[in-house]
This record gives sequence, structure tokens and C-alpha cells, in this order.
Amino acid sequence: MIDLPVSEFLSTLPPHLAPLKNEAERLLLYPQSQEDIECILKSANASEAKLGLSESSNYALGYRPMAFLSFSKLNRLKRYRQEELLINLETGITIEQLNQLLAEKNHRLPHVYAPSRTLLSLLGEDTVSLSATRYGPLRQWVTGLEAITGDGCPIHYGGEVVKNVTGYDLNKLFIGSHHQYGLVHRVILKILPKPEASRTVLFHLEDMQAAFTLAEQMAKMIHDPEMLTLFKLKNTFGWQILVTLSGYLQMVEQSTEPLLHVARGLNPDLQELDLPAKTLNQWVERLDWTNLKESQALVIRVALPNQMLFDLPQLLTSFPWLSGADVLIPLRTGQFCLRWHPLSQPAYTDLLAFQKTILSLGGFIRVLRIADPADQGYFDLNQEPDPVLLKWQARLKQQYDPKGILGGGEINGIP
Amino acid sequence: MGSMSKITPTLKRLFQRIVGHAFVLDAPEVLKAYECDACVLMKAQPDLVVLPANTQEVAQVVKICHEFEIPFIARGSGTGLSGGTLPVSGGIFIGLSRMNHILEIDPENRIARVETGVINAWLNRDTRPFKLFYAPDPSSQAACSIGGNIAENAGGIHCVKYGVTTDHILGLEVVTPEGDIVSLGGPHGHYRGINWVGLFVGSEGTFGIATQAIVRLTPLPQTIKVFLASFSKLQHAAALVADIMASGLRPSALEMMDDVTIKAVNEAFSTGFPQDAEAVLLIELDGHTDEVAMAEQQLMPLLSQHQVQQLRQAEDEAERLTLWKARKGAVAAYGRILPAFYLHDCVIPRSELVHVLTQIQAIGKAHEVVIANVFHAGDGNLHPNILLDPDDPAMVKRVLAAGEEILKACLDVGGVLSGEHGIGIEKSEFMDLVFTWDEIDVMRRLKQVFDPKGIANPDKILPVKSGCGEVRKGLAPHMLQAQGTWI
Repeated sequence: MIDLPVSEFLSTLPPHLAPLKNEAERLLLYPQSQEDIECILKSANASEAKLGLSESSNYALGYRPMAFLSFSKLNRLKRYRQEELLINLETGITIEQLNQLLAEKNHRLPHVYAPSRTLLSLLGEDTVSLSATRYGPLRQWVTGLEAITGDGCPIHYGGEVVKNVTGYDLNKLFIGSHHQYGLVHRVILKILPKPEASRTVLFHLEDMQAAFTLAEQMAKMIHDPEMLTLFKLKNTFGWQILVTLSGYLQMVEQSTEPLLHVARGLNPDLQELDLPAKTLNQWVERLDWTNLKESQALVIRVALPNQMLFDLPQLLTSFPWLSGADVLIPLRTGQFCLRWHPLSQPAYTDLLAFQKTILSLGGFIRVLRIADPADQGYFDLNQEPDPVLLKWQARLKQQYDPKGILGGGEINGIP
Repeated sequence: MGSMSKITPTLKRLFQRIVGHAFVLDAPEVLKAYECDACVLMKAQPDLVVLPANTQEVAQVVKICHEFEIPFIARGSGTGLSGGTLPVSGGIFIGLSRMNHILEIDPENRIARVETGVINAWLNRDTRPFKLFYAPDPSSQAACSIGGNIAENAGGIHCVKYGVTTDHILGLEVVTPEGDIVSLGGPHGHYRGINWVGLFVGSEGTFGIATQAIVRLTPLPQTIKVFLASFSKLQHAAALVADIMASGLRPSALEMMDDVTIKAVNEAFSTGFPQDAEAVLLIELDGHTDEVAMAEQQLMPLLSQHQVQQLRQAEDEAERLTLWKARKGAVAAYGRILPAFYLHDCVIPRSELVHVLTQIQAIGKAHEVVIANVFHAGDGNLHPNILLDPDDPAMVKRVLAAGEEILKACLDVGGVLSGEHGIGIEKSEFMDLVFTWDEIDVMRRLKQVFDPKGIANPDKILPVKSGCGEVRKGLAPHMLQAQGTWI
């Protein structure tokens, strides 16, 4: 399909949606309301203009957005139901903005995400937070949403209630599907009061096996940690374990002491107690590998049953080229991430062999980011292997975005 | 009855060849046993019942249905409350009662793999030795199947803390409406880009048949404490619920019963709930022993602010189980008052409990019907049971009118139609009160993705809009009146 000239698409938009060009010569549109998004999508359908999201950077081969939508002006608080512990927001809001809003009322979203991320991007990916160990995936905290389908139909699902089976669960259609079928512009989230106490400890260990052993001991020992994440980064010392305990003060204090005792047995000097919030945020930002800032890296996510994550040392050593990767393992979340920078990234064939092994273990891999636009072929690894699911995917696209206005491609490589 | 003529002797023989003669049922007295679920206000018989033994047999049966465009409806234990398995367009039942094996319990990964005909309570019986449990626990858990729970996205008493079925299903084996077998999700609980498991759970059997499930298991809590608080006014109890939930306390159960229910369960179970109370709350705290002790400290001041008449803590496990038995058996106890009931399942913001419960009382008085409330207060999930005598047409009429008013009162405060029972046939006529017709069309398109021929449990969830823009109001009552099948 040949794209019509940009001018034809833009000429159908009202003046207040006139695009701006950024430094990369991208045309950026700034919708400010549901009606604006509806108008943009309908115009795009009429002229078959492909759209991208400024919050998402990678697209499948052959998909070239004509213009990009930024949700930065869709970041308003719509309703704060303090007594219900629910907050109703536009999705362009950043985690930093949201945290500020909630802190004023002594509330919080318990998921730990990089402050710079928007809800829109997190919902598109259904990003697993470092605190998913205790709080599960973000989708479980969404009680309702509003979206516009790719063909321009506004919908809402759920509401300011904590339980709902009224009709098909459209939350599940839009969350995690990389904006392929519609754009979520509003969301209702469950929130929690801030805990009485919270303590984050960072352990450093040089030896991989020792780090995994300690992490496994901690997983058995700590009652319901908020965060228990094991990681290795290039240019930092060995392996690190980030542990956050939160809840009643007495519980946090009681849990910390045995934790430190075990760690001291392994290496008495390598720990940082009571990481301040600012430092923790910096770590979280560094560990958010699907953030736009990470676009110069190849990032894959590997899903595996929980207990297998403790056997990773064997897996990592059986594929020697994996030693060059950064590794991030939020324990008890059924997944881990690997990251390579352009000069050290593995060959496609290596990843293909790795994928076969992971599939044989009952898991799968997904390419989340590519290092370079020339590497778009890596998205082929995301191709759904089951013909029935491929058929369903194609039908979903046909039903909700028949003209392919919302491309992406991170899902399955189908433009 | 659209497909009645489609079940020819040849087709019946085909089904018999797949599952065996003994497992294809069409004797009138047998079909009568399948004419309704637990929502007994509506009845319709299938043309045939087929009882396959495994996924492959299910797939072969469905392939025939697909080829000959025969509607099929998966059926577990028949404990549904929304007419979700009512074969209003005829067709066959695919009963999963023979597929009732717990295939694997993996305590290390805290998962189990089960056939979907497994009874919910069996899974908990078998996981308990590993100090694990399957959290969703509908009141019917002694009888309901995991497959039915998946279809309805069932909740239960403990989902206020542990979440509903969708939060505990990691993977599914599904027979599609085209007769293919497909695996969704996996033991890790993640998906490759589209949350097929999330879409499937709660789709009420309209996207296909789940034949196996990988479920998440949760460690049994170290300590459980149950408190019984009674109140002279329903509104006092409701206000306490709102305050408990706003405080951030996470009780593992927070259930309310009104005076009608108290009297019924006292008679049925000799529970000894205060007879003069207008409401009681059952509040359960669970978790690590120290954590429970601290939660209790947080709870007590809240109780003292809300005019609690009596507060009693279950002394031991036996008393705790008795209290929960009474709660779970409340609906059965209503039989002592009137022989049947009509039940709604709305969810409202918890801060609206006082307002809506007051309205429900007024609606009951205005329509001269008895309404008994027993519900998941911590979730705001109401269960007003409007008691009735099915042989009294005037009363049935008043009951239906009261039910509709209750629904509207709930929707007026931002509520939703159903929290855990599903829409089925019973509430489909009310869907346009919640969604625009464009939104309903978006849902219809989703159905078409999975089931282009519309043969998987047809007529459920989505209402039909007539050509003149009028809604198909009151389908179920009209249909039933025409058939003369009130209960």
C-alpha cells in the first residue's frame, strides 16, 4: 500500500491539532481530549495514514508511521476516589507525576516503575514491575479504562469498582497489546496507602553462583517481599540483589535482621542498608530496559516457571555468548530480561538456538527492543508459532484496525 | 429451537463413535436434569448431551458441531447463576464431568495442572498437604467446577484479598469453536503479546471450551482469625466496611449478612448469630502471625467507631469453619422462608454501600417483597436475594420489577451489572444500560474473532438490538412465560 501524502492526512485535522516537528523531523500531534484522538484516528483511516506513538520507538519491518501522537497533554487527574483507593487518570501522566499526586494523600501505586515512564507506555507493554513479586502484574490493578479502537470507536470498560465481569474483558484486549488495536487514553487504577515502614537493601556479590544461592535463600526466608531482584550490569561490580521489605514497622524490622545475617555469612562488607528513595529511583530507572532511553539496546524478555529462574547459572553458562549480556531477574515473577548494546549483541541464529531451548523448558522469549532499525528482523522471533493464534491475531487486527493505522509490530512482526 | 432438526440419527451415531454409546444422552428424563443451572427461573433443554473423556474427544465433537453449525454449550457442574448454560437456541451440551482429574501439583513452582471438570474444593483438598491452596472460592465450591469458574471468572469470599479467577489462571488448553486445540499462556503466567488467557477467562464459554488449566497456588496463611461483629442498623455495618477498606487494611474476607439472612442461617445451622441484629459482618484476617496481630490492632479502633453491638472472635478452627459454613449455606437457608429466589450480583463503590442498601430496603417495601442480603461487602459486590414463590405469578412480577429497580440503583452510583456470576442470558437484556451500542458492537467483534459461526454458547452476554433501535427487553421472562416454565 502506498501512503497518501502527509498533507492530505493533515489537511483533514482541525487547526488546534496542527502538528509540530521535533529535532528528528518527526511530525508530532498533541491530542488533548478523547475527541481529538477520535478525530485523528478517523482522519488517519480516511487517508490510510499510519500513526506511531512517541512513547514507543521500535516498529516492524515495513512500518513507517506518517505522524506520531504524543500523549504529553493528556496527563490530567480526572477523579481521585480516596475512600475507594482508586484513581482515575489520563494515560499521558508519568509515574513521577502520579507518585507526586498520590504522595500528597499518603497513597501510592505499589508497582515500582521508572519515574519517567508514562502509564500509556506501561499499559501498552503490560510491563512487569520490580515489585510484581508481591503485587502481580499491572493489569490486575486496572479496574477500568477508556480507549479508542484503531477504526475510531470510543469504548469504556469497567469503572470505579474493584470487581467486574460485565461483558467481555476489554481491559485484557488493550493492555499488553502494544497499542495494536486501540489507544487507551484513560485508566482507573487501584492504589494503596503508603506502608508504615519500607526498607530497601542492596547486596553485592562477585560470584554468580553465590548470588543465586543467596537470592534463593532470601526467597525462602523473607515473608512476602515487595521486591527481590537479582541483576548484573555491564560496568558495575558483579551481581547485585535489591530487596525491599514493606508493611508494618515491626514486621519490616523483624524480617531485616535474619536477611542481613545470612548475607553477612557470605560476604560481610558488601551491602548498602536503607537505600534512600532517590537512589532507589535511580536504580529503577537504570533497570527499566524498555524505556525509550534504552532504544540503543537489544532487549529480550524470557518467560520461565519461577523455580527454573534459580537454575539460570547453568543456562547462562551453557550459552557462552550470554556472558556479555546484562541480566535482570525479578524473582517470583516468572520471567527475566537480557540486554545487549549494539557492539556486543548476539547473532540472530544464536538467539534462535536459545529460543529453542527456552521453548523446550515451557517458556518463550520476546524481543522488546532492538538496538538499531537495521535489526528489525529480530522481531521475527516474536512470531506466534501456533497457526490458530496467528489466525486470531489477524482477525483481531481486521476487527479493530482494518486499515492498519496502528502498526507497531512488536507483537508479532506483522505490519 | 434452531438446531433441533440438525441432530439427526447419523449425527448422534457420529457422537457415539467419538465418546462411546453410554456417553451420549438424549432420554427425555435425562435431558430434564440439564434444563437449567442454579438460576432456576429460566429453563431450556439441550437436544443432546455428550460426555467426552478428554480434550481430543471434545475437539472431535466440536469439529462436527462446526461443520453442521450446531450450537454447543460446555457445561461443568451446572451451578451457574445467570442462565449461562441455557441452550435457548437448542444444540448440544458438552459435559465436562468425566474430565475431572488433577493432573499435576507442582509445589516448587506453586502451580497445578487440572482438567476443567475438577471440582473446586477437590483441588484445595489435594493441595493442602503441600501447604498451598487455590484461592478463588465461590460459595458453591463443594460442587462447582474449575471450568465453570473460568467461564464466569468466579470470585468468592476470599477474593477481596486474593483476587478473582483471572488472577489465578496461568495457562489454558482450549478447544476452539472450529475444533482446534490450542495452548494459551503457560506455567510462567506470561503471554507473547496478546493476553489470550485474560480474554478467555470470563467469556462464559462463548470463545470455546477450556479443557485443562494451569492454576496458581498460594501458600496457606500461618494464622487465620475470624471476627463476628453485629449491628443494630444495617447502615452501621456498611459504614464500617467502607472505612475498613479505605484504611488500607486487607482482610482476607469481609462479608455482610442482613437480618433476614441471620434468622435463616440461625435456624438452618444453629449458628447463634445475634437474633436482634439488623446486620452482622464476618471479618477474616490472615497471613503471618505477627502481621495478623498488627492488622487486628489496626482493626479494633475502627470497630469501636461504628456502634458494634457485639464482637466475637472464633475460638478455634471448628468455630471458624461453622461461621463460614453458615455464610456459604445462607442461600440454601432461604428455602425456609420462601421456596425460590431471584438474585442480583451488582458491584458498587464501597463508599455507596450505606446509600444503596437503604435504597434496597425501600425497594423491597415498595414492591412488597422479601429481600435478603448476604454479600461480599469488602468488594462492594452485592447479592440481594429477592425471595419468591414461583407459583404466585403476581409475586414473580413484583420480584422482577424490584430486581430491575435494584439494578438501576446500583448503576446510578457507578456500579456494574455483575461481579462474579456473569451476564449469561439473565442479564444480557440490561447490557445497554452499561454500554453504548457501539461498545456492545466492539464486544460482538471480539466474539467473531474466536467464533465466526456463532456456535459456541450462543445468545449469551450480548443483547440483540431490533431493527427499529429498540432493545430486546425482557427476553428471558418473555421466553419463559411463553413456555410456561417458571421454575
